[in-house]
Amino acid sequence: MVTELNGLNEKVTEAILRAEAAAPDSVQAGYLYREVSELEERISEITPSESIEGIVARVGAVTAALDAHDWVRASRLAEAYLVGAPADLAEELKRLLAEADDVGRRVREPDVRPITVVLAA
Amino acid sequence: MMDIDALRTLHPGLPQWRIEELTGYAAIALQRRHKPGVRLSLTIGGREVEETLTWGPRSGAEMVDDDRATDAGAEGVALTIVGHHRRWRIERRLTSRRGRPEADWLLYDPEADETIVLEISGTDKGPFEARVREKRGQVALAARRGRPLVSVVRFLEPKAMLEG
Repeated sequence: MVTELNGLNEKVTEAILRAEAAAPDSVQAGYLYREVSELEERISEITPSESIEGIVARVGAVTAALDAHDWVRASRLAEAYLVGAPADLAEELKRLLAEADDVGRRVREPDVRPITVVLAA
Repeated sequence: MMDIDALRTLHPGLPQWRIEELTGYAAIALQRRHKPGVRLSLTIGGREVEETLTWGPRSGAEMVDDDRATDAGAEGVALTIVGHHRRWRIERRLTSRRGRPEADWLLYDPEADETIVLEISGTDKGPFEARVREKRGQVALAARRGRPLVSVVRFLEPKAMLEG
């Protein structure tokens, strides 16, 4: 498990550094943050939610999904990680879940308002 | 003597491309005013340490963004200090929600069997203590992940501090 964790830590470090170097909100950044989220999810599968590594990975998986603008994935992961999470982790996950839900609500209910246009001949 | 170009051996888990960036930017930020062999005003854990800083000279400073050289250069210097003086091992980079950074690195101190969260910051000639205070407040948010520590580098003198 330690060897696997070390290997994944190296991979997620490289993925985060590449994502941070990409232009903010670019297609490339979205793709790279999705990769970060997937690696964090893999780390979460081999680390307990009470461990530092486990907390870092669970919060990282949700955070990176939000930075990839994938609020569906962020919500799904946050809800899954909330089950049996220790109090301090649960607090962070609830905050991230609220953020994901807020983004999701804005996507489902875009702010469209009528405008008045006067045509003059 | 602390050699910035030794970063590769101090932190072998870091990607090669990032090591080249960090050492290159550190050299360029230092070369604004200094030459290899400059005395570094260094404080570690509240204690002043005599240190000399060296690096292989780099060219191409005119093609590099100044802020980027300062930020990444400070990271290169700070991680060199961490590896050279403390032998803390890099566990991994930390994710931070864009716009809400907490800390940069998760480190492991084998001597104390302790996890450390480290926030690194750099300035060229800006206020030093104010930056330390600002970063202490920031890294405190990451305290549940490990012992929160700060390292700040200023290239003017040059001067650096590492808590812990």
